[in-house]
Amino acid sequence: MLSILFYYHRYYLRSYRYTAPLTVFLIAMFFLYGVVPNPVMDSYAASATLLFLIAAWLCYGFVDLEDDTQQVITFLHSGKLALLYTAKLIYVWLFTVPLSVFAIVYPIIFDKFAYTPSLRQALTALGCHQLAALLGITLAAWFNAKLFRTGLISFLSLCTVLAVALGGQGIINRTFPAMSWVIPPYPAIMYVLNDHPQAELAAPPQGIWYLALYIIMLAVSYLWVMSRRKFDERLK
Amino acid sequence: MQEPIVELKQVTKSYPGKLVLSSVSLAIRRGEAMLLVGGNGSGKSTLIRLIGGFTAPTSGSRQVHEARPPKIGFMPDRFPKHKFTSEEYLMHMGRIQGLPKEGLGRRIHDLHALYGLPLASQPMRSFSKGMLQKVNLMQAVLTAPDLLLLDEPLSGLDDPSVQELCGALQELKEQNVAIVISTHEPAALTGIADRIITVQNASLLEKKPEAPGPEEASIQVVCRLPGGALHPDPAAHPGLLSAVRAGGQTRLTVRADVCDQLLLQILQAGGSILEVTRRGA
Repeated sequence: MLSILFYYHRYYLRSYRYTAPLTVFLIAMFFLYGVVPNPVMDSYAASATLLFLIAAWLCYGFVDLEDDTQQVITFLHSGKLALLYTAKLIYVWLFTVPLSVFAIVYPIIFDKFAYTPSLRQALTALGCHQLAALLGITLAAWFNAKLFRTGLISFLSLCTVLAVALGGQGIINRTFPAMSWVIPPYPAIMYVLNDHPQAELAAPPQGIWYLALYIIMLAVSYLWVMSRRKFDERLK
Repeated sequence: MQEPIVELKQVTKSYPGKLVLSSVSLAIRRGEAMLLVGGNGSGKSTLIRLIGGFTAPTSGSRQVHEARPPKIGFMPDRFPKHKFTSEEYLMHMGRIQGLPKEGLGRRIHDLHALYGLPLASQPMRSFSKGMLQKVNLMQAVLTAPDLLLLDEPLSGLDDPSVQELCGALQELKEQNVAIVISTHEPAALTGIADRIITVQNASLLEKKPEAPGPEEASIQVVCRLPGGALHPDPAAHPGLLSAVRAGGQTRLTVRADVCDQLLLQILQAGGSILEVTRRGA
């Protein structure tokens, strides 16, 4: 696994595909904290949403990065297709870890908040950032060239899903409660960061457990579908 | 008869609006070299992918007849121009296979020497087609495969490189590796083929390679050439079929009718003959 991750790392770094999402992330972070002082948990809610979108962007750019022919060769050398797709998900997640840490630590170090958050608040925010990143990654991984006819269709579909995830609570309120089982449960993160800014809950609310389960189900079903799909030419 | 290492049974492959292969069956055995010939778009590459197991058949089955699945080496057509150097690239592929770093480094150096590709710091995206094909072959034989699949391996190669490749394939065949080659230029490869299969109208037609006549019989010459040359002068030997260098020795395969001329030239050039073996009729 480590050798595959290292290979993907060098492949990705030499592609420079990370530059646009990273630049947008940094500009948005500096813009967010451009004026001081800022509310702690509301600011973290904004940066978690930003990371959700950036993680989806990073994953969308990474998942089809490796040349189609090279994917077959890498598979034959590794012997297991599911291992390669697992490594892809893990690699993008690892890429987002420093971004999460930066989003938590930067406003504390540079005194951008109205008050210094407690360790518990910072850790809660870090957990929420990581869940947001993982949800973005596991959603975006599905919108790849093997499952969609063209890049435009996959891109527009991903944008729609991300928008629905962000505005999901409104859709649920205006339609019927069962929609909450289908729509990506991003509002659970907002519930923790916005509605409970004290972040002093004894245990994560039920919505967070459901979000974690949703991410795991997305990842497992993605690995199952992609392993069965093998290397059939793109659908035309 | 030897048990096949991979067998396709009644395999059909179709894409929306196009039937590529219809109910074809094929068995591949160890030490057997098979040529797949046919026009562009006839389904040769799809058949290679089905044999390798990296495309699923629409119907029918691919069976692997060993408890341990065969190790497959694949030399694809259109090998990508990576931003890695050849050494970096092969090191990554070897490490992904789980090979230890030190032995892998030696193997990569040996392969570069064997195929006459200098170890350079330039990335593969600046390589010529022939140089890329050599790296392509190196990754496929990084460790000895049970089954080697080659998709249009001769495209972009000059004559000496074709001879080197034929020599390398002959060596692998002698090591009991099963080889399947898809090509639309079969002439250069018929010397190593045991079976020739034409892919046409979604079906497979098999014909036995013609036995070589007395003038077509080949002779293998193992020699040591001065200055590490691969062969004395390929232009002077139109009958030279393949040449491969390994461990300071050069293994030449030459048409029998021009063999004496080649032996004389090797000796006159200061080389020495180590072994001469007749093949074919």
